[in-house]
Amino acid sequence: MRSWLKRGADAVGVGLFVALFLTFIIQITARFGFNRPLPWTDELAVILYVWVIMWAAAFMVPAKEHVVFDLVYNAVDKGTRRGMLLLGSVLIGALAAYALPGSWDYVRFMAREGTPVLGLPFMWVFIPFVFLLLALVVRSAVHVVALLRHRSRELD
Amino acid sequence: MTLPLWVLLAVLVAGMLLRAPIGFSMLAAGIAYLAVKGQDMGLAAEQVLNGLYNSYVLLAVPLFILAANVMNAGTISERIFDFCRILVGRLRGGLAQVDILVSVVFSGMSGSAIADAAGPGLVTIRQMLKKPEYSPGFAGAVVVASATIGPIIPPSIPMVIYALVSGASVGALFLGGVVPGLLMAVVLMIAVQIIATKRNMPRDAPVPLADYPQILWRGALPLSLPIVLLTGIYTGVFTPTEAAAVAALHALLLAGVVYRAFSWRTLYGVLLESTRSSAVITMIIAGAFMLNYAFTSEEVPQSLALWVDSKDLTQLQFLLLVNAVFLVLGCFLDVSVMLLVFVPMLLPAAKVLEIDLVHFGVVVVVNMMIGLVTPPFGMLLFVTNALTGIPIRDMIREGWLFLAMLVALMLMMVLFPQIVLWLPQTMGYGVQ
Repeated sequence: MRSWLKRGADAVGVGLFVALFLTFIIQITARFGFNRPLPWTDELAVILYVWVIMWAAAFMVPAKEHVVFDLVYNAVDKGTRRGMLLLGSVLIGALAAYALPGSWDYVRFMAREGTPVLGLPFMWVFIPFVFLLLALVVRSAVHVVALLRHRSRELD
Repeated sequence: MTLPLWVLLAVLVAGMLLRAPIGFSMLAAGIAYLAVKGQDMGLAAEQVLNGLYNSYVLLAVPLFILAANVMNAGTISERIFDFCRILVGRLRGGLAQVDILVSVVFSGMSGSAIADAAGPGLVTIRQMLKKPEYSPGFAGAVVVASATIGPIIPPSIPMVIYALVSGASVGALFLGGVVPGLLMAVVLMIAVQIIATKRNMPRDAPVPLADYPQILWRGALPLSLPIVLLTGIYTGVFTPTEAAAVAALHALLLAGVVYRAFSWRTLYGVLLESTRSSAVITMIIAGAFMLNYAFTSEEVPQSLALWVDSKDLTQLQFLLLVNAVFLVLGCFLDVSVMLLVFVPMLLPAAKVLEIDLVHFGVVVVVNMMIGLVTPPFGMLLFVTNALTGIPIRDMIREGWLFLAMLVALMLMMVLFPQIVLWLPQTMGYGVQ
């Protein structure tokens, strides 16, 4: 079930990325091939960009691929590492949870405004940020539980 | 310093020391700042989302990442390697010289030092390790040092990000990197020559003349890319962002259609990897939007500018000071953090002193590339170590001459801004 979800999330992210790339190709072809610049490609590209980044950060990037500062972590023993990961997860998870309601309000509020060309409500442009905060909360919680049960994969 | 600012710094430093992802630590620090200040949490969403939505130039980043990954997966690196071997392979320490030249060529197609080390760098390391005269440490050191050229010769991801924070022209920055990038190659080649002569490294057997046409032909198509890209950007036919898309398309067509080096599965893997890497870099940028919002509301950059103004620093003193500080910071921090957090703080001061922002940008990016090879936190050392198993200690021991050469060159760039500015000005940048 979990690996199935993971593969689904990956496929969605890759699909968005490909769409972003194709949007650019269409833009360039229209401008240079047919000398007819399209008004909507720039906007669609930026919307897809926000989605790709937030989606991938929320559901695709494994913990070990993120840029981290690990000089201290590498210098201490395993017990201390466990404590560090625990505190770090609580810090990120708690603050993400704290920001969640206000961010959701903002994103919902933006439903009344549409993008200039496509007229897409900004709520649908911005909503993946809410996904990201949610994912941070859930992933931190899961990681905290795993660490408490001595079952974190990151620690090994 | 106000209380909210202290809280922000505390959360940021705590998150980083605890080994939480840097991008998320920055985001969390910004949230904590808003919380203590009693501001609406919607501001967090607003800063991050509007920051990304309004930074059109950032779209170049995922596309350049895609281009580099495609080139690395599609045997394009090998073709460039063979091509450069004809040119400099006969020198003493020939493979090391080839590596530097390959880096120059690859730099003209990719904008990332990491991609350079992981792609063509790995190809040359494998060749060097087959020969007894190249110690693993030396092979690693050469590759790591030459990979720093990647983001100096355009295109360049760090310069795109610098353009975003400074408002300087991407085109002028790209042009400004050409001469410094070529000079980096020259000083590194001199260093290799010195070491190779001292160690009396043997010369390679020449490549048989009969093989020339095939190697040249195989190399010609990839080599057409930098020419297309640079001409396109400088004639204004396409924007740097569009150039990134063209680079990715060119690489895809070469690898997939012309060379048939790609299966659908490989392509999916490359796309997946590119999506993830783009997210990793951009999360740090998103976190930086939060931090910069806080720093700007606390008027940190302005205070720094006032302080610099009160010290009556000359342009030169300021640049030397900044570079010294950045060299030290570069030993401990990631490039993106320095570019996105520290550089915006310094920009008002640089403007007060009327320092040319293109000159400043190119020097700062060179400085950060040196930061990629300085221990304890040197991303290029980590990547090369992870890919080849060469101990970081050995690379450092063999690499000090390269490092010294690069720092000396950077100093020259500070002292003689024309090294950077000559080409952009010749092409019409900033001419009144």
